[in-house]
Amino acid sequence: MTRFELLAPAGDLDKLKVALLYGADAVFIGGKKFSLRAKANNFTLEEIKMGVEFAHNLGKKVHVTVNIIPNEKELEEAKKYIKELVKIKVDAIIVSSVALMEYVKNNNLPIDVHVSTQCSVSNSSAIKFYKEEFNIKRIVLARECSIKNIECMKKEIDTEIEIFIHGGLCSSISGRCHLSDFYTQRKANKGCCAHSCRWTYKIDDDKKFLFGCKDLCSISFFSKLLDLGINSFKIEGRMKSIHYIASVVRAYRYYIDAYEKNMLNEEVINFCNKELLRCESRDYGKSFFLGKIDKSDMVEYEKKEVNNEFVGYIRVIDDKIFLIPKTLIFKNDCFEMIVPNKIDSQIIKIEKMVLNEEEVFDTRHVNDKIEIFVDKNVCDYAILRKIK
Amino acid sequence: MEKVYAYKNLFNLAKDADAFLVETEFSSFSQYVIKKDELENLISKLKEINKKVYLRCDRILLEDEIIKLNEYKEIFLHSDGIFFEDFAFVEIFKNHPKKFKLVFFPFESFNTLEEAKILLNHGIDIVILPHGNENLLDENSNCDKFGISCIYNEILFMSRRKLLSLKDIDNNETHFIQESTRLSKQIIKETNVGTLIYNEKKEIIKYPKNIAFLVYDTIFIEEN
Ligand code: SF4
Repeated sequence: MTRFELLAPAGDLDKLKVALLYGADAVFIGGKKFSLRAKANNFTLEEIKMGVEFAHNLGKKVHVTVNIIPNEKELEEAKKYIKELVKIKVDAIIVSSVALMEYVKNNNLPIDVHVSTQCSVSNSSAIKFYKEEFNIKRIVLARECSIKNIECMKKEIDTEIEIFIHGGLCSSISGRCHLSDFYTQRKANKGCCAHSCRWTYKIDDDKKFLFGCKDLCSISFFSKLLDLGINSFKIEGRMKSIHYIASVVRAYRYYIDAYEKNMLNEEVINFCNKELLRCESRDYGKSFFLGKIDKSDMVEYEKKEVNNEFVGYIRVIDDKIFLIPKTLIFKNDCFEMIVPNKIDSQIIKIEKMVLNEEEVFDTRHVNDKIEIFVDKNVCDYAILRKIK
Repeated sequence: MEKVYAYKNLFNLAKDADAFLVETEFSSFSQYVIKKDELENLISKLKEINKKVYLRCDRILLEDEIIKLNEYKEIFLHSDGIFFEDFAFVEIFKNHPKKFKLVFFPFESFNTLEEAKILLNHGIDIVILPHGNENLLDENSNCDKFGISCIYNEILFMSRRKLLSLKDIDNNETHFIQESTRLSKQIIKETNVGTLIYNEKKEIIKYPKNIAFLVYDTIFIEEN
């Protein structure tokens, strides 16, 4: 592992494996309860255990989010749940409740505690408070911090710092939004946000008013963040596709490796930019990193396009090759294939498809497991996408 | 019970107030920057008429604002305490005099009494329960370290983004927004540090009689 941790999201076990295989040093995942992405598939304890074993075999880590704001009943359940996470050797929990921080501290539980971005920690004095009072290991900084602010903060503290570098953003301060709850009774602080900030509003009865913000992409200034010696760089998106996770992780991995080898150049940055644009349909902005939000960070028009680059991924099981399709695919179709640990992609042709021991000429259902025969060597979790 | 009213101006002081909650440069709501000497003056004036003064510092602070806060520290210590949300205040004022109170005044950082009590063991003197959690306390609870906002506007959204300016909309005016498929309207207001969206309707909350702090958070509510 490098001195920087690249931390990726994983909504299920396949995504966890993809994230780690494509270059993440750690993943963050949610259990079936207590995490802020109620709509992600999320992991059972058994699946978390499998994920932890997979990660530890690669020398990598698993962080589990336990960051809802619990009520009395949930709080007791969350404590029991943390004990279970300790038993299965999860590396860290991400929490926002002081009761859970205190619980781990008072019981000397052998698990790292990371303060969730929901707590909106954005200065060195608050970091010192959490460290001194609750013995926390790491702070996930608020998304409102600028590079300059982080630089000043770093001089004052010795606590580990994690920041979001890529993905969706709240246009509110994290944890300070009740819009979803108000309009839909879906509480954001319980993991059920309806993204009401991205809806269309009217202002003063006539003018259309959109106040959602663009997704964050840090590639254009990422070297400045690396220069600061931040411990962990986090990608948002536990609900995102395998293609998204593989592409984003791969791009940032490539960048970090080039930075560490002193080989960062325009070509690397252009490659990363291109990869990141291919896997997302929402526009990108820079959030607060450069100090001020400007118009280019805000969504200007309703955009409902979906990204249709991703066509499927490969599983290799008992020497057989399977395709998990995400769209309609025909025999003899050709696609671009990306694989872990390689930057160059290849063109691959699907020469034959077999479903239930019968040859088929197209994929019928998304997520079927279709045995395929192809013209190239493939590996587990290779990703297929449209040729550009 | 200490009745704390949001301070508006010296000519409009609630008669039954024991204390006033004064906006500061570190408040979530402030639309103007109150200068250091003005603040010092105001604290003295309110003290002269035997009112306590608490300072609203409920913004989550960035590192550069912490540097600024240190400049205000001395003046703040002339007041009776600070209503805050950022734990930086606990760290910065950790050796404060006993009569100066650190009052935790959160948006929604907990939903249980256990968490509120834990905070009282970590340098916080009084905890005001977040809106919607008032029922954690009843007449039988020991309330001497707790407070409740008994009147307030429901804040729906707080952002560091100046959403009106970013959309070239006059940021001095009060505007209403309306989700395109719904009838209800909410107020959107730009402050000197960001944007708030809130409901015009005032919420009035029942409270246990033995509560220590009762906050009339009428900052946006016109009194009559
Ligand atoms: S509505 Fe928007 S700002 Fe509010 S919690 Fe959801 S994503 Fe965040």
